[in-house]
Amino acid sequence: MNIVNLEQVSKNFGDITAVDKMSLSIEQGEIFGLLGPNGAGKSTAINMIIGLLSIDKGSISILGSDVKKESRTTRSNVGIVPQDIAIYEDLTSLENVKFFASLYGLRGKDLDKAAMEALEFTGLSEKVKSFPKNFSGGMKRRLNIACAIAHKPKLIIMDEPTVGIDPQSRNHILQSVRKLNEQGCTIIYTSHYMEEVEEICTRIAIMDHGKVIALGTCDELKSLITDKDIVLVTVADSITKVRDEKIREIRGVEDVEIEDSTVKVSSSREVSNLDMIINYFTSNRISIKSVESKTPDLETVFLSLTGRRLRD
Amino acid sequence: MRILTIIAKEFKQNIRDFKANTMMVLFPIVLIAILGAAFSGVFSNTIDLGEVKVLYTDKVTQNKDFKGAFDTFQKGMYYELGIKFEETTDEAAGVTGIENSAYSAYLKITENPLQFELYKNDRRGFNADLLETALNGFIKTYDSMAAIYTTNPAALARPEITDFNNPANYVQTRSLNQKRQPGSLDYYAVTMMTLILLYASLTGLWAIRSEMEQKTAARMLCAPVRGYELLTGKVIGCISVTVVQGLAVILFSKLVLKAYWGENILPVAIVLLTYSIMTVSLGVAMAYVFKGAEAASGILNTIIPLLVFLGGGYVPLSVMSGFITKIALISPVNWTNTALFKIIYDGDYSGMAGSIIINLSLSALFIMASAYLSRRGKRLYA
Repeated sequence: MNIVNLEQVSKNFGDITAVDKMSLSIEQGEIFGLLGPNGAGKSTAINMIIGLLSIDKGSISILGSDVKKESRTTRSNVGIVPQDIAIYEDLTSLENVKFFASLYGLRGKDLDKAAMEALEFTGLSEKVKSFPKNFSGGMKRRLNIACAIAHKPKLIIMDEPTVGIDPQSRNHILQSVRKLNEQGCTIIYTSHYMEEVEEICTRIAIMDHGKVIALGTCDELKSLITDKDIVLVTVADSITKVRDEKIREIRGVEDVEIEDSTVKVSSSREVSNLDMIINYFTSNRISIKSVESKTPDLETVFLSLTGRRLRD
Repeated sequence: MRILTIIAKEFKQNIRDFKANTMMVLFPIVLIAILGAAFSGVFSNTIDLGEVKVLYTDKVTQNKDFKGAFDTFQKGMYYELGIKFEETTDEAAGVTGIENSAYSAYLKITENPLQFELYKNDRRGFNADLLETALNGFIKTYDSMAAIYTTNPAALARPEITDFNNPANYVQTRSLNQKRQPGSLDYYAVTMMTLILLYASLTGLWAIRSEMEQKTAARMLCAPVRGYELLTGKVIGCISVTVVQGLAVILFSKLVLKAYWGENILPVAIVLLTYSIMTVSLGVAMAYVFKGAEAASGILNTIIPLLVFLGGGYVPLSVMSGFITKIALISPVNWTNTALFKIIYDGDYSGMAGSIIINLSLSALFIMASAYLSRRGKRLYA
């Protein structure tokens, strides 16, 4: 079942097209990664999904309800974890969570229970009466999440939820994301940290110039940019002993490059030949210092598709 | 219910703001006390003449009736006004005494005919004028008695006619305005209240800007909250806290500083409430009109003292020129202060309706502008 559906959605700011005929479907239960360089249109797309920006053309629906026509219904089902920490420093943790949850209609004991659960979930149950101004960056980020989940939304949008925090808090947040997903929440996750996206997202869309330029699982995206496996063999002996023409004779090898004491062997992904490559070196009594199998990561995919690094 | 939630949150945040509360409560109380003490003379209805000395030469030797009457007059002047008469036989000393300001006046009395010559010290003009007025009264009374003595001596047997001991025969003070007038503390209690309530516009301004800058406005609007609910909640929340702060100032000024707030506080409270609504709405509108909070706050901080000055906040408008009093009509502080003083001191409610209508109309205008701009500039939240 589609939880979010964008159909030919466009948004212009004057002459600038921020989102250009974007179509996308996000399935219930997914952790959906939305990547793109700065100015790609991610924030505009998210702001249209949560109703902060009007849609110029096309339509967006959440759980089948149109965000334009039934904005109250759609908003009730969404929780937003903004990139900028959006909490009140002069309200306690509990007051913060209760305030935002009450905007979703929670009252009385239900409100108290939901707020406490959200704080427990984010590991802040011992800080209910503390003011966020005394919190570390990681604790503020966790409170930022607690404020988004207390009303138990079906869709949670997390915009860079781990920016500028220590590894411990980051791990806590990533675990929380998985746990929320296990509890049935669908999550849209944006991050500049590729390893996070690669680690937790079930599907990823890469945006550039207002369009989705690639969509799929992490492996599917990697396969878009290369059909080769690369093996780097560093030798301990003199490199002059290596005969590249002999390596090229190995089944599946397409290219061999020698640089300093390293031999870079490119092979077709369809052929498994690592044992044969290593056998060449051992049979010719060339000592191997190290072997590294290089497959493209998401960063390489992103760079290849957009021409920019994610942090540019 | 969402509006109530927003009001409660706004109230809680503002009431915890120590800095803002210090400014909104302690600042006016200190100002009332300082200005009330510093300008007490400006509002006083009594005049301290200080020491008034009059030198005189009396060359009357035959007319004993006159001598007795003049002696009584002197005693009466000293008793009532503190004017001290000193006799000298040296006429030149009298003139010198005025020249070196040792005396307020020099009086020369001659006999045959009975005449008075009064030399006044211009540097002590008021004291000398007062003496002249009293002396004229004495002379007229004495002349009348002399005339009666000539035509009907029996009438002088009535003691009240010849009672020179009553100084009211010579100087009579009648107040032109019998109504209660504000003392300096009373005056500044009202004007400092309207001054500080004008600063509540900054409460309105920051209530909106802080939500934008903390990005919490965006978070609130992601919830099923309508724009008008957010705006209404914010405005009412700010007004509520302003009312509490204002109430604290009124109570302190009334109970501790003993400032007079009139016999009926309800109409005063209503005018102040509508004024607070107007000032908070002004701040909210400024938050939407200007993109930067600093620019909006800078403008408010500039115009507030001006509007307060034109409203007679620092110095009563009655002591200013006609030109200033005409310009002062543009200041809402002026309308409100005028209405409040009329209510408190005259029991006159004629200015109340006008002030309330102007305050509420301006509030409506500011709120509508805010609603329009907040809808147009929704991007501000994103």
